[in-house]
Amino acid sequence: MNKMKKINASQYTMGIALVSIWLLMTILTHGIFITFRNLSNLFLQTATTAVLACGMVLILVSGNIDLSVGSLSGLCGGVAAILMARAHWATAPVILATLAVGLAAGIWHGFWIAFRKVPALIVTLSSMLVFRGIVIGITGGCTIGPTNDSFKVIGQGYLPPWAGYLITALVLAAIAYCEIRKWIVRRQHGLTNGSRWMLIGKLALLLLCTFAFFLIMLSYRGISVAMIFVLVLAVILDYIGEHTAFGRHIYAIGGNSDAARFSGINIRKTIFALYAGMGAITALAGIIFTARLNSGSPAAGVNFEMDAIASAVIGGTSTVGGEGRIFGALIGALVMTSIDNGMSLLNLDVTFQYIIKGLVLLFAVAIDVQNRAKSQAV
Amino acid sequence: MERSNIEIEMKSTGKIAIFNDKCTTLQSLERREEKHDAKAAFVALQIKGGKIMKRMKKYTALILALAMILLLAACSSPAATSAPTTSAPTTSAQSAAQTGSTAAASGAAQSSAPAAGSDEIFVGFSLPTQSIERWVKDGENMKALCDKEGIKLVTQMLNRYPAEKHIPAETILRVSDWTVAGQNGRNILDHISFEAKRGEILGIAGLMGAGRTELATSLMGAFGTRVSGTIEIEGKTVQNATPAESVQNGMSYVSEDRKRFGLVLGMDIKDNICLPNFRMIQKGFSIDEYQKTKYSEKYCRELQIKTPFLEQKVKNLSGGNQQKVVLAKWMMSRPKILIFDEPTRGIDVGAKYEIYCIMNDLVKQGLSIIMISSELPEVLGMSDRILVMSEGRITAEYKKGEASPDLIMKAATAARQSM
Repeated sequence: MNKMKKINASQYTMGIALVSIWLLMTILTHGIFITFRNLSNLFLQTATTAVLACGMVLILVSGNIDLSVGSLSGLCGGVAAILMARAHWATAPVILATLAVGLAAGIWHGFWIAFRKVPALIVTLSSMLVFRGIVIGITGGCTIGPTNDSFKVIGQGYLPPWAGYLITALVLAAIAYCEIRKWIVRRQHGLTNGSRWMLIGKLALLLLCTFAFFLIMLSYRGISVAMIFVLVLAVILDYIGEHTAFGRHIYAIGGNSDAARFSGINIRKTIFALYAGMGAITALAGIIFTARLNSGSPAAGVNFEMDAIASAVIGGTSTVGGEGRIFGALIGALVMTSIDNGMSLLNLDVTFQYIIKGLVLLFAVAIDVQNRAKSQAV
Repeated sequence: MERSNIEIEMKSTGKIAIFNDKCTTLQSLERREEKHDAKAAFVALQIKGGKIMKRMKKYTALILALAMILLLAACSSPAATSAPTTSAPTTSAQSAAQTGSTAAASGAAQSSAPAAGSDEIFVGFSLPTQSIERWVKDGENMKALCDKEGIKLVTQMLNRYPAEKHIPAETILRVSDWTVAGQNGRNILDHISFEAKRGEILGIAGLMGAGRTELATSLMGAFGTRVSGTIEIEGKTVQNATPAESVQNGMSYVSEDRKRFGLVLGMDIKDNICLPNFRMIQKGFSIDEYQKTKYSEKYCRELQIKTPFLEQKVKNLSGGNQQKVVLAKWMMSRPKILIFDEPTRGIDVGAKYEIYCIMNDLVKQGLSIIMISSELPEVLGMSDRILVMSEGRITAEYKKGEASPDLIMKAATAARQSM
């Protein structure tokens, strides 16, 4: 019972933080923020940060960090733009090539971090500079565009209405099925469980929020293709983290790497695979970003890593490793992007945007740390 | 146990010893005043649940109800002479109602305290003596007490080490000429050779700093390749370059620092038990949650890990329960050789006994256990063979029964003398 309360509490604090920021923005922008159009755009803007944050969660959980995601996503986007605009490749080979570039960068990281035991901070810091240099070099300092029409769909396209409704119905059904099944299985095993009313209440809240989420998008232009990528990636990564040996090994390495070592976990292989995967995920984020902007620029991706890490940490990932959930990072990404979006609507100076984002990150994590310390008997 | 045996024992020694054939050994010591002093009697219990608990709850409820009524009566009347006398049995009854705690004799002690040097654990409380006599004399009740799901009575340990006859089989581990280089030209371990047999507990004794933990960790591969010598497991030469390889080859290590090397404190019991064993419970890529829960439940039941629910984080468990989680982890993975480093450090006496029983069980199933321990009684009581190490060398080897504390201490300081 205690465990359920604790998990629900931390999820609710993130949700409460998000809702309060939305309320604040709505009031300040006289309601413009809360229009379906703006929220739908907000969700689309979140896509890049969300993709990076999902990968960043697993990296942080393993006790490492990745500072190069911004530069790498810019590099991948630049490569994609060049292949399409200058070499006139078709979309599918371009996507494969970009993912391969990301994977190669990830393997480079994995080699130095896992096998040469160079601290992840240093390796990814060096990559941040190296990849930025490579982008500036291959683009020659100019913005490269335009991209193929079929490529643009990834970042700017929307699903047709019937597909949108279908997906909404499927997602709602899936959530209801998972929650009910979990509850029934726990009851069968005689484990601790909430009452039926708790289940109904939790289900109602979840379904309502999800339905509102999809409704907002459906009411404007439909569900964006980028959002589908984000959701699919989040589901896959969450499944990997919670229900596969690989994921549990990552959590164990972050929680106590000595114990993980003596439990027979091959730390080097796991970390290597983790960083390789992160490279591919970063490439995906670069693809989405480039498709949205319809071009690859040498300044693409600056400060993305900060947003990704902040999103993950706001979403409950511990900075020292061992704890973190993917869906929390999604909410964290929403928080960071909402602040960006709201401040743009308010025409605030860039100065304030930076300051406020930094302070929000600090206070969100401080409150979460305090809540955790209170609920645990230390 | 037969009822007559119980009575005979009781009459001859004034104590009752009841043995179960499994690890839930029930031993009770009954200490009470002379028969004509029928005020109170102390029974030492470690309460696990069952009939006694119900009885006590009944008595506690009765006493509490009585106390309330008396208090009410006292408050409504000007004189309050009954209040102090009711509070004493109330507090003692309340302390008795606490489950599972083995606290020292509580404040309501009315009979003489136990002898200073004994291993008795008391939860003191008073019960009407007559009911105890009824319990004790009634063989049926005692049988119910002995029931595995009933109560565990742990008091004076007549036998702290469950000595069982082990029949060692073939050699399963052979270490030859094992040398680990240290700094300044001195070797941490110097040309060590020994064998471990299946079905045997090999004890390694010695002073701290003799290199026993280094021996274990270097065999596991924690020293990487800064070692020389050969390890043969089941006749095959193996290279343990990392602990992961060593676990795959069938040799696992239970560290003395269970919080640092044995458990991921932030994860729950199920994850910790299944951490090296996901291969056993996964279907394709994904872990079968049902199997995970089933195995964890099985080991929690077998090892009697006390936890309100399986998702409890292990950092909230007691030392003994944490050690049991580590043991469950390795029991599930079925290694060939299990190296224990100080298996019962920082654990209460009851849990220690349970861990010894678990070790005996493991050995009977065909494992080979190497037990590194600094407690001489433990090494002498549990091992079938004892190696003594000193300053990185093996200085003596004794079979069970040949060794004595003097001999071991002499061997443990031998290297220093020869230098």
